[in-house]
Amino acid sequence: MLKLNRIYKELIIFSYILGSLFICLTGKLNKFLNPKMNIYFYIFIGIMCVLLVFEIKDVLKSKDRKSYTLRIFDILYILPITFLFFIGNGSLSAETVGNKGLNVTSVQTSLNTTGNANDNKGQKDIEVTNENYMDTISEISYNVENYIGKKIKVTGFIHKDNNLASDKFVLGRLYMSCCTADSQVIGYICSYEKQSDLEENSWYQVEAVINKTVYSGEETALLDITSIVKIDKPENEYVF
Amino acid sequence: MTKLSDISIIFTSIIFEAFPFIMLGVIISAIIQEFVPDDFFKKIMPKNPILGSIVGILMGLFIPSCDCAVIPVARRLIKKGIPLNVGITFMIASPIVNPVVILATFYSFGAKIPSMVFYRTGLGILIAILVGILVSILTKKDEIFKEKNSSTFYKKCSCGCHLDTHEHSVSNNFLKRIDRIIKHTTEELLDITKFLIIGALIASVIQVIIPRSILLDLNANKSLEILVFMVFAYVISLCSTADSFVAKTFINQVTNNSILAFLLLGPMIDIKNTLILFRSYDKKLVFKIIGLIFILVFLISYFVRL
Repeated sequence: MLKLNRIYKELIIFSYILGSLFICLTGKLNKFLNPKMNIYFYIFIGIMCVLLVFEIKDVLKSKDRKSYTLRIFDILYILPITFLFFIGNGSLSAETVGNKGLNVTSVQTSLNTTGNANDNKGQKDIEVTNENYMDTISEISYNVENYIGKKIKVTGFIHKDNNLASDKFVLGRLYMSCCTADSQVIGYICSYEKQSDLEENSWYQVEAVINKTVYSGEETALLDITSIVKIDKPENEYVF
Repeated sequence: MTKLSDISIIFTSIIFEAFPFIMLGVIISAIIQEFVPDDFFKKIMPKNPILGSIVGILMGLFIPSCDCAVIPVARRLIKKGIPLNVGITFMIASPIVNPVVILATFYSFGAKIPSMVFYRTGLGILIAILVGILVSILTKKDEIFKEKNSSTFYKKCSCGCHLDTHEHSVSNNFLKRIDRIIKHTTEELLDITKFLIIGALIASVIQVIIPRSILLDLNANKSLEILVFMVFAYVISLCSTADSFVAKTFINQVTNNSILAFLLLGPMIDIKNTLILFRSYDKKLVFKIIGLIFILVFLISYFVRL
């Protein structure tokens, strides 16, 4: 008869494979990982399957396999699976988002800047999408002088920052460089008279004219809002 | 309830981000165990400790690995007989001299503090060499690994795993070797996972519970602020490729010295690595490593002019 302490390794590996597949199949993977890490995660699942096959083969083959004494400490193995039941829709609460760092000046993060942003240079109006978000914000926050007076259309959530004047707020997105644990609020400082009507952490689409301002000693873009519309929260709130 | 959900999300992201890299480290470790002869490193390693440390740094540069992957590899190398100072220097330095980390630091600080990437890399190498040498002076050979009192551990298998169904060096045909590599991988992965879980749990709870503002209300006291940022880097356990972007959000809010301390300490040691170290090494050795890292990072960050 198979006892728990003889097949505990198989059970752990199997449950981790299931948990990983659950995250992938429910489309939540990129609420936890930057898409550039996806490939490593898939390889990980593949190798786990290989390990599982070898372990099962081992159990079936050697009847005299020594059983391992499970200790109370081993209960920890079930935590990653248990926590999967509590992740909800995988989005952090406003409070925790507010506890993260804020990046609104010289937002440059990696090699993959410029590129798409150059497409916007000739045009009069700039339309920011999920795909070109990082390129656009790093370009505009670095070279704000080149963009003053241009129209911009951008979406994000409301983040009110204590260091800003009462008619200003940040239209933010969460940027993830590796995983959720290192995600940061990035965004544009916006100027809007009726700032107090806006609800923290709710999502808006904004049309604005680019201006400049100074935040913690550095020049950066300021959006003078011309229109602001409440929208539904997008499927994935992160930009990468 | 929202706190629980936030903790679960951050915990899950840390675990599933770390898994592939720990897996990588464990597989490399298993391959070294299987294919590198026991006396190989003794033959090729320079006897001079300074030269050895430089070898450790170069290994970090040419075997780029993050802080998760490096621990199983370093442990295996030390078991295979590379000098302790080389192993420790390799373990501490490789997440900092990793080209991806250097680039990330360069881009995060390029515009505001262009010299930061040189300070981080250069001082990181210096600290790694010093810690390696000091620890090996303070440690006897038989005090490196965990005591061998725990039942069957280490008895049957020179590699330090507790398998007894596989026989070492009995058969060297290729399939047997693959089989042993896979079994070592499973054993070590599960072993490390337990400690990764505790580390990720602590890190995620702290990130959700502790308000960030307490980090910023210390502007009166330089040394206290440096210390707080070191502890901060230690407990949030970020991946070394991501931490420079987090550190950047503190520019102009705290001194550059505190940011440097954060950037130096985080890749070298954090809470999830500490637990894995305690599993691998004698606890006195772990205390020495962590203690020296904290002291050196503090002194250097305090006195450097940025």
